[in-house]
Amino acid sequence: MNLKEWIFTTDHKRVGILYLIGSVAAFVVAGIMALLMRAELSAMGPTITANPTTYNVWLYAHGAIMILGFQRSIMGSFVMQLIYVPVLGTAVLLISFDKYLGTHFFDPTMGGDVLTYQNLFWFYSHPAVYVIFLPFMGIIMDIFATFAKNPIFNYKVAVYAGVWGIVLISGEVWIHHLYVTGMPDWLRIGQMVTTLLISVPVGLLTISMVGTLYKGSITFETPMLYALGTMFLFLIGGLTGIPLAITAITVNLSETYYVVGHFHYVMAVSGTLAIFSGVYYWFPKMTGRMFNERWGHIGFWFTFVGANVIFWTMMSVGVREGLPRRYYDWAQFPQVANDQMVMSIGAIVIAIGFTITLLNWILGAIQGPKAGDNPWESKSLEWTTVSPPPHGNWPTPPVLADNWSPYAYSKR
Amino acid sequence: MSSHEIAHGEASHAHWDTSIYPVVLSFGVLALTLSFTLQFVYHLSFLSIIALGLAVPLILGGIAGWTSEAMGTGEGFSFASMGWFILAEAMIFLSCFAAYWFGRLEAPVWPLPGSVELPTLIPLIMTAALVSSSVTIHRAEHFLHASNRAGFIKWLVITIVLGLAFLGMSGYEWNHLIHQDFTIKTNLFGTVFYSITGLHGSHVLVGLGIFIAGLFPAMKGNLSPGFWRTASLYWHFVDIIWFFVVSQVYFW
Repeated sequence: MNLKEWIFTTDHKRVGILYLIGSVAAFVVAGIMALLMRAELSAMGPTITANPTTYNVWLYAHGAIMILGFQRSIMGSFVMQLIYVPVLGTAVLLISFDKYLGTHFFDPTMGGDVLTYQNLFWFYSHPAVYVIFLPFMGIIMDIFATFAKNPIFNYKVAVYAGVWGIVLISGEVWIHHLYVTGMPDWLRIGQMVTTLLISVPVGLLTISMVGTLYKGSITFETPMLYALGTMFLFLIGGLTGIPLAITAITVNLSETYYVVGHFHYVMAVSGTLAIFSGVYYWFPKMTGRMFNERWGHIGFWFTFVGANVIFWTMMSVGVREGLPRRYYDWAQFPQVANDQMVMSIGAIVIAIGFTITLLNWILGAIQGPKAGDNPWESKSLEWTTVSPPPHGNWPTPPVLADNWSPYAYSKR
Repeated sequence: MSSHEIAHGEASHAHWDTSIYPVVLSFGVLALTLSFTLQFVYHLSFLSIIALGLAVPLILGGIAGWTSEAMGTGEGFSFASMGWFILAEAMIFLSCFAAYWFGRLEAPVWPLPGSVELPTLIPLIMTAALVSSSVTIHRAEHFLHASNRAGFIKWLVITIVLGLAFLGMSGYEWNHLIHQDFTIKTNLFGTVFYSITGLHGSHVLVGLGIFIAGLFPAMKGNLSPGFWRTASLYWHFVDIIWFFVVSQVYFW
């Protein structure tokens, strides 16, 4: 292996793998931050740090670094990144100007407006969720088709109405993050409508997922297990988002653990599981070797169970006790002691699952058995070349049948 | 891995395409961030300047090297990519204008205390200069397609001169206003005025940099139509943005 041809590569496959390694590294760091937070919150009062600012740094780092772990692109999310990322960049730049150059963008005493920051931030950060969501939807659709041996159900509707529908509506929902911080009433109702509207394209994608599985001959290899887990977690996350979109309910739930539980279901863990399923699925193609199937399953169940233990409990304490999020300590809520302990145990369970998964990848890439060109018997084009694909992707140009289609599984 | 590749008979593809410039540029950006952090967060000016001294050559060298590598391979996707880049740029300007609009539309009184009367003649002359420069670069492109190198260089130089005149007037005006105690720290309008005109001015500066970087190869007879088509698209964008700046900041 020539190291120079990796570090200075301009080949998209290799750049992709470098991104993947960077993403996993960011993931591990952000995960450690989450574990530190869970350790701090596992018991009342100062636990592993006496300094609330340190806790805030972990909270910030967990959120900010985790986003780096998710950077992916397919066309829809690529367009969205071009539109929305500059807005976040500007928001961050303007706040540094305010802090270090003495400007007044967000300073109401000099004519600025604090809410401008929230508007700019969420104008990016809400669509960012879909930037992550769209590629993961693409990944698990491919995996569903392969392991259910069915063509993707309602394919054109899923692409044009589902994917591009989300791209279209995504720019018009960010204001719901300001329901509680402040906005005129007429805007609140309009935002409720647009926010609920996003469930239409998402619903169409869900129909395609379920339709692809329907009457399929499903096998449960590790990638498929992760893809199904993603669908389950995404369903919970999506449905628990509806109360948050409805203004009358959200004033009670806003800024509680319910919100944290919801967005970790819908984005963090379902996104993570989808990406893991993608890595497992294309692992033989990328490395030419096979991971250990048994440890793949074990890692999945640890991750899946741990995620549900943490985030279901989070939503539950949010509704039951109204436990506020972001706090360094919960001295005013002694009744949540058991829940906090359960969540911290869930975090350890996830950490074990991640460790198993990561080791499975590393060991598989180094010493796994040779995978062959198409271990999953997929019809998609990338599986017609050798594993790993050489420079130029195909040793010889692939020959395709006239009626070739990436999802041409036998019709039922 | 390499033994595996050879086993499949791809020994003919001995070399994967590589380029050193993405890495150079990445380290440049890292050093630039480090420089800002050292200056503004840790107040270590000396180290900050060292980091800046590393960052600037790395970034400029990275851009120049990468561009010259790419210029040998034809136009590629550069024109379309510039379109996407402009979309992203437009969002940056929109964010800054949004900050301005939020503040201004909610202000109980306007102009805010501390604001001064902006001059009206200079922005009009600046507008004339920038609009003419859009026409002159278009004219230059016309000569480029007619393979008239002398005509092309003449109109390109006129464009550069107009751009420099624009920046000069902008600098003169900033200086004039700062002497009237109207600075970026005065109030929201000061903040918005200097950041939006500064953001736009930095785009003019980059455009001039692109033109000057292309001027020298052009004088040696190296004319790349794809490069100039893309560069002039960028220049037209900078011109169009100016209409928003002048109408929103100067004459509202």
